[in-house]
Amino acid sequence: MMHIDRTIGLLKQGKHVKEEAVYSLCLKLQELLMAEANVTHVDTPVTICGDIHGQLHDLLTLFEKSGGVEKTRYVFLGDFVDRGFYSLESFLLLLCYKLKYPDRITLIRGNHETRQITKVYGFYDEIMRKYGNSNVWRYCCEAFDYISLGAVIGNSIFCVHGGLSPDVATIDGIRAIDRKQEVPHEGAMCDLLWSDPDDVDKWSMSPRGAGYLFGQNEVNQFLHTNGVDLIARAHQLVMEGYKEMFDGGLVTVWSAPNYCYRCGNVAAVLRIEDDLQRNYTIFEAVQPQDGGGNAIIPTKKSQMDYFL
Amino acid sequence: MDRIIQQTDNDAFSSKICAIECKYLPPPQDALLDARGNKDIQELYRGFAQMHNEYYAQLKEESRNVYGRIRRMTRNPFPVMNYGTYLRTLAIDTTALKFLEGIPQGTEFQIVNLGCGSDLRSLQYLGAFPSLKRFVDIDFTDAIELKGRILDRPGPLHTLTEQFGDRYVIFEGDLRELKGTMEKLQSVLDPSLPTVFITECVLCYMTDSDSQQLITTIMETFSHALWVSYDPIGGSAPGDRFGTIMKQNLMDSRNLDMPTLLQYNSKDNFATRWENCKTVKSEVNVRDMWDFLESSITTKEKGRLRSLQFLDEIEELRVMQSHYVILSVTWGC
Repeated sequence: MMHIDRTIGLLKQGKHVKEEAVYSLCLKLQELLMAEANVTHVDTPVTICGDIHGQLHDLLTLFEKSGGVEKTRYVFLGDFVDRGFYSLESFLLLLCYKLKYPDRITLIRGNHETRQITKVYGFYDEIMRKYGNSNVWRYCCEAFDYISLGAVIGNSIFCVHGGLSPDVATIDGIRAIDRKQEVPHEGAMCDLLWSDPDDVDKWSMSPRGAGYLFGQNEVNQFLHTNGVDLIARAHQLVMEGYKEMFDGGLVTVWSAPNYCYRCGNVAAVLRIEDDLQRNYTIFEAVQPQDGGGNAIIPTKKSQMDYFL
Repeated sequence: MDRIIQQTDNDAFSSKICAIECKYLPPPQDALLDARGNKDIQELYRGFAQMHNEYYAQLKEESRNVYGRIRRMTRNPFPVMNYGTYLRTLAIDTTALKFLEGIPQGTEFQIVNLGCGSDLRSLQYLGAFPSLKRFVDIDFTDAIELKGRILDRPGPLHTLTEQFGDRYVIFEGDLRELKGTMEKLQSVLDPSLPTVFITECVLCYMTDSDSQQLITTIMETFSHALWVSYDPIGGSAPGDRFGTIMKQNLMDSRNLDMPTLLQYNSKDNFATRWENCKTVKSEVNVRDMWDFLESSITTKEKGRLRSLQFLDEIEELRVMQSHYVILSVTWGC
């Protein structure tokens, strides 16, 4: 436990965590997650958080604004890594909290918690930059394979990263998936992590190249079949931080403010009370510090892309 | 400051190399909804990848420094950037091609690429259009010297430019020094011939008055022309902070200024510099790049783009592309 506290201290200061420490943390997380079902049960009150994407400073703000892990239960809907400059630190912080407070942190896998996507979207490069080899990336990816696919809050809210799949109509069906693997390119597990709600009247092709678009019909059907009231998911940037759709049957929660340091959006978390009431908290991005260099955006980084 | 602006050409060129490597560019022959455009697109993009790769290879021999910068930038391009590069490239060309379609076949015409940098449209258009009388590339001294040296190196690009002879003119000029620039342009161009002016991320680095004077003077000098411009806009919707953040980010990370980003923050505002020229009757059309993607690209082509890389975030693409515009202004038609 001292080991974990020390690591949390290092992470909060943005300091380097040794490769061996990451290795042992990832192993511990694997052991813990191995015992979790594909869809875990979570009690209220709980705070639901959307995409983080390596924005460590904003993740720290999130904890600050929402009560903190000592007092609050959290569900994180995935996409901890990629795009932001502190993917490793963000993931490790959540990992350490999960190890320290296993009942207070539920992690759900996002479409970025995979080998293939992290190679394209920055986490792999970040590790190569920070460690000079890919070992730490491998340890993390092995841990990713064990992260749950969903959660059910108080028997009435289904949490997932992306959305629904035409291949699996029930939560029990999701429980039966063999999840401990790299996310496949198609099929139920892929869809849960990649699909998006949209104004469509049937399952439709997704513009992302994976998963499906699903509409009100699919949502109503799923809610009815599974006896739940709400699908809480993340996966899509929402400029206002959150967006309810389909008469409140689905909500998108987005927790990365000023996404990629350039989108200008606010972020949100959703607190579910004991009576299932929904309370949203909106928060803004941490401002880069002027003066002695920019504390948040490392100067070596060139990937703050614009068309010039 | 000039050096900082010139370095943006490295971004543009590296983006193009990435889009080629990832197979976004060149577009296939059925990319456009407007079927008439597709025939010309095919002609225009013949040898596109080879041409750019050859330029990149020659650049390596000519300037290790610039090559090194570009090579670093081409590592691991994000799909959202490749989409944008694809869209900007195609939008400029389709706008130009549409204007050229309106010219009676065989009529001589001219193209001027203002602030051309390493853009190779000169070679593309001269190869595709026999009636293109003159293509003028103009940019800062350093940029033109480097481009000139690269095109002079023995190889296919040199053979090509030799073949074009005096149809291809490349000269140095500072667009802010209007008198000198106009004298140079007029020495090689016929102001009565149909002429296309291209500014691709050029006006956004100029002050309001410099860009306004350039636009007005060119509109008053050339009698029949198209101006096609690709630039960012700051955004004008309530609560839209894209432009403010962009201006700040570029200033902080590379000391790059975009003086008019927040002034010409919407499609309508962006068009005012051409509309301000009251002595010339013109037709102005501005679209944002998201609109271009949605309404000009075929479903089949969108499917092809989807298959190239997993696009992780559609909304981000929409946010970015709705803050870049393609402007088309025609006059004397």
